[in-house]
This record gives sequence, C-alpha cells and structure tokens, in this order.
Amino acid sequence: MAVKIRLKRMGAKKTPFYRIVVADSRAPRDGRFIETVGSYDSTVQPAVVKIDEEKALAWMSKGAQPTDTVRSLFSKNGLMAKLAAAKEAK
Amino acid sequence: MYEKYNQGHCQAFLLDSVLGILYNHSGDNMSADNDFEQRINFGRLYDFYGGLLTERQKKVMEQYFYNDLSLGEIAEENGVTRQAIHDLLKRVEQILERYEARLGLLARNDKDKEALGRAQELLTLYIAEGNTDRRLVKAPQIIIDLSTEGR
Repeated sequence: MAVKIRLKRMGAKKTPFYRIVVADSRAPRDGRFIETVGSYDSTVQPAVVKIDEEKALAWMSKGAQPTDTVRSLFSKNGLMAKLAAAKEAK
Repeated sequence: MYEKYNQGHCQAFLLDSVLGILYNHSGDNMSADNDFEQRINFGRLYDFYGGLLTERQKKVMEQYFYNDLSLGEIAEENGVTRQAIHDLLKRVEQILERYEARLGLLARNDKDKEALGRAQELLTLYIAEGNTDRRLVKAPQIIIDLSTEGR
C-alpha cells in the first residue's frame, strides 16, 4: 500500500486553511486519511505553518511519499534536509 | 584537427552540464518557494472565479487543489491522459488570471481586509481608552461582520 503525504484543503470559501495529512494513495476521493502531521493557515499574514516534524519524518522514513506541494512546503521549512541528514546517519 | 574540435566540444558540453547542475540545484529551493505560493494563490483565484468555470474544469480544479492529487491521479480518475489534465489546468490558470486582471476581486478583497483590520484596531484602542459611547461600541462588531462576510 502506497502512502502519500498530501496538502488537504479545509475551511470555507475564501478562507483557505490546509492540513498536511498522511493518506493511502488509492483512497483519495472520500478524503479519508490516516493521520494529520501539520497545517498551513493562509488566512493570516504571514501564513502560519505548523509541522509535527517527528511524525512527518517518521512517515517519510517509512516510505510515505510527499506530493510536490507538500515537498516544497517541507523543504521550505528545512524538513527535507533533516530527512536527508537522518538517512545519512543510518 | 578533428580531435581538437572534439575535445573542445566535449569540454563545452561538460561545462554546460556542470552549470546545469549548479543552476538547477540553486534554483531548486527558490522554485519550491514560488511553486508553493503560486499554488496557494491559484487556489485563491479559484475561490473567487471558480463559479465561472465549466463543471469539468471545476471537478479537476477541486481534485488538484482541495485534495492535492497529482496530475497522473487526476488523469486516471477522469479516464484521460496526464497531458490533457496538464493542458486543462494551464488553460484554467490563464482564464482565472484574465478574470483577476480585469476584475481584480482578489486584490480588492485583500486591500479591504487590511483596511478594515486597521480601522477595527483603532476603534478598539479608542474604546479601550474609556470612550464607551454605546453607539460607538457597536462599530467594531460591524467591521468584523463586514470583513468576515462570505466565509
């Protein structure tokens, strides 16, 4: 089972709020997901990013694939570098 | 003679690929930044002008923005090629940008919100300083209602 980390949009129209969720790649439509690992709130300036780094790194080291969107958010917050460092340390 | 040319060619090629790697590498973070902002912005444009798109365009946009599906996944669900989805999204982006260029609702909304926020702040300060006229006290709530309209 392939697991993906996606940016899921919550919140009402014009007040976007996003959750970073871990979900099965084959069940994307009904929006079921396994776990929330962060959020991105763009209703406030500047946008507030919250990432549970421990969980996110744990999922990625288990092979969960972040989508391009999530990957760019992660690398912006230095998470991809941490993942690379963690892999190196092994 | 030929060898010499070949060598020069090889070096140029090598230099090119090294530059390419360097360029791509340093560009990586920047484009990651821009990609993300761009995407959020594209989604906001959709909030404002999405109602003007066709059902099919809306469906794909929602899969793309609300659920963050990849182009390949969207293509699979709609029974078309990845290229078709890519083209559709490009076209929608152009459409939404054209609407914004002409109508400017998104820019207007941002400006309004900022101005209302500042007005509310000033009023609240004024009230906090002991100016509690009951007609005045109602004003901040009116501003809040106005700035959260359409939520």
